[in-house]
Amino acid sequence: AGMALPTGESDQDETNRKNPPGKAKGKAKKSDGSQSTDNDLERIFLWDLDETIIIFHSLLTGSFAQKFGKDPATVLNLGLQMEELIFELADTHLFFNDLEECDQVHVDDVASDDNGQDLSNYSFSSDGFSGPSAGGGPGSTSTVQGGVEWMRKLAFRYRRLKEIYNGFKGNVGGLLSPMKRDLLLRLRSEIETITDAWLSTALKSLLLIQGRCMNVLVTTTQLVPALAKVLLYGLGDVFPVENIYSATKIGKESCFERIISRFGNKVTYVVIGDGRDEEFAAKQHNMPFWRISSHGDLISLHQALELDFL
Amino acid sequence: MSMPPTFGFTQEQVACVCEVLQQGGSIERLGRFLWSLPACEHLHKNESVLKAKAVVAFHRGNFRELYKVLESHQFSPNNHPKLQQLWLKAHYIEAEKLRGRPLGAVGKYRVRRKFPLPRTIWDGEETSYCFREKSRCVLKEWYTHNPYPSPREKRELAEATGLTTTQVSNWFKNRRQRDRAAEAKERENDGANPNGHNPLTSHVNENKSLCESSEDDKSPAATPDHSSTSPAILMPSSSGLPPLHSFAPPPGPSASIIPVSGSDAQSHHHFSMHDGLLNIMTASLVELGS
Repeated sequence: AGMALPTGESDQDETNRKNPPGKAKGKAKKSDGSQSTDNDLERIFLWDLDETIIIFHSLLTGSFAQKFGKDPATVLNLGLQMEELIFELADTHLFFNDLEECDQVHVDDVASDDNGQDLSNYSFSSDGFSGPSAGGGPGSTSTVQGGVEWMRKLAFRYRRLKEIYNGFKGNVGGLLSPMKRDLLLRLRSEIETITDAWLSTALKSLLLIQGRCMNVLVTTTQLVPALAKVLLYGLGDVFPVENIYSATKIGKESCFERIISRFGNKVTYVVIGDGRDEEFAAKQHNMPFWRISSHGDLISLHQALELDFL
Repeated sequence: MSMPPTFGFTQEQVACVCEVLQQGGSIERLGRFLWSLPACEHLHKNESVLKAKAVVAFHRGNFRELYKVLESHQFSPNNHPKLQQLWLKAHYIEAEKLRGRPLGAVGKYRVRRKFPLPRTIWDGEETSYCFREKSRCVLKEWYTHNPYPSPREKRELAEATGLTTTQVSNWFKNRRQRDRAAEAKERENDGANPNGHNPLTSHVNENKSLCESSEDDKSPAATPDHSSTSPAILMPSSSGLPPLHSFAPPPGPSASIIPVSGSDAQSHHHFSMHDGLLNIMTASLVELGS
């Protein structure tokens, strides 16, 4: 009943105003006199992607169909079509062919090798980044892997990735042919129906959080396909590209550690996932964990956010 | 776990909210959240919920409630540190209110002794030490070879451990005293005296309080008194102990006590413990004890 605090007032202000007797050393944070601004980050929500926000992987494995009593063939078909779109986008526009073997945890990880040169007329397809590796025949123009020049070209790719992501995060259709655009819309609609509006329910929470704190994505998908998934599922606006981490190489626990180093430990982190890796990683870092195993859990999450419990 | 259908959260989710609000320091909000929970017994026995109740009670100065919560449930070890802090802080605050002024280190110690941590939030291990583990190891190691370091050795130890020489001296003095107390207690438990009460040890304890506060710079004037009175106490003719005087050079400026098993020498002697002398001493002491 009336849980939400009036806008702009933080818990610290309320405590200081009331000044309850007998509270010599309260557990609440002491206000340092400054009003908490919009820039003060209180919470950061660390989201898992698959089976938490989007339903994708379990479409392919059949586990979704089984768990929720849907027709396996239909579900599988949707999954396969989506998968095709994801990898087509990844290959065509996101350099996945080049980057699959050397994908990073975070889009800025190789930025230090970048020289900042103008890329507007740069030809990624013929810069010799990828070609036959060791033992390229006579006249091979491929760059030595791992060398300085190669690292720079790698950095260019991630820079371009960021540009593409930022340019199309609100409108991924612009990256697709009209036919594929229609296919995408159709697929998303069908997946929404068959998953009982899973994604849009998750999106409610994501948007609410974005309004007052921050969303971070930590996924076990490789970075480039993860970016493709985020774009295709229309999540580009709730996850800035710098807030996306791939745990494929280093695991979720290490990703969480990186995030803590980045944002500090004065923030409260909340982990949201469907279990397994993220639950364990959360425990290791003493972060509260909100499990998503059903539709209802997403609804409860939204409720808790609305009621200002989280 | 039956939850009224109007309340939409699972126990796990309630626990998550409790953790989030606690970590964020939003104790007022946490209090309101707890108040809004259905009166489900199972839910209110959840550890995260109980922890939250404890934090809210502390925050509100409701210490009776706090102690009740802390003693009501066996908390898991990873929550012990935080809950111990709540217990102690609350007791300190109450003691300070009675006292009317802030508590010093000794005052706090007395509070801790008077209100020992309940086993629900403590595993019984006395593991909070003042000195680093490394320093303590160095001191312990040295002690096993020689419980009576010379002033120079104490200085060396101080350097090696990062402590002051006073701290080193106090450490050794306390260690000797505690070893002796432990040994005396062991003798008592062994039933060496049928009454279960060893007159020697009780006297020893009395006199100990006089001697043990000595530092290296204890004035010589004080020592002769002890030397003259103690033998009378410690030399019951029946015990067959040879007079301890024979072991002792005249009392010097530094005062320390020889640990003698069972009966304590009250004379103050300063020894520079050459190994040879130490070996002779040890051998004789062993004889005494048998």
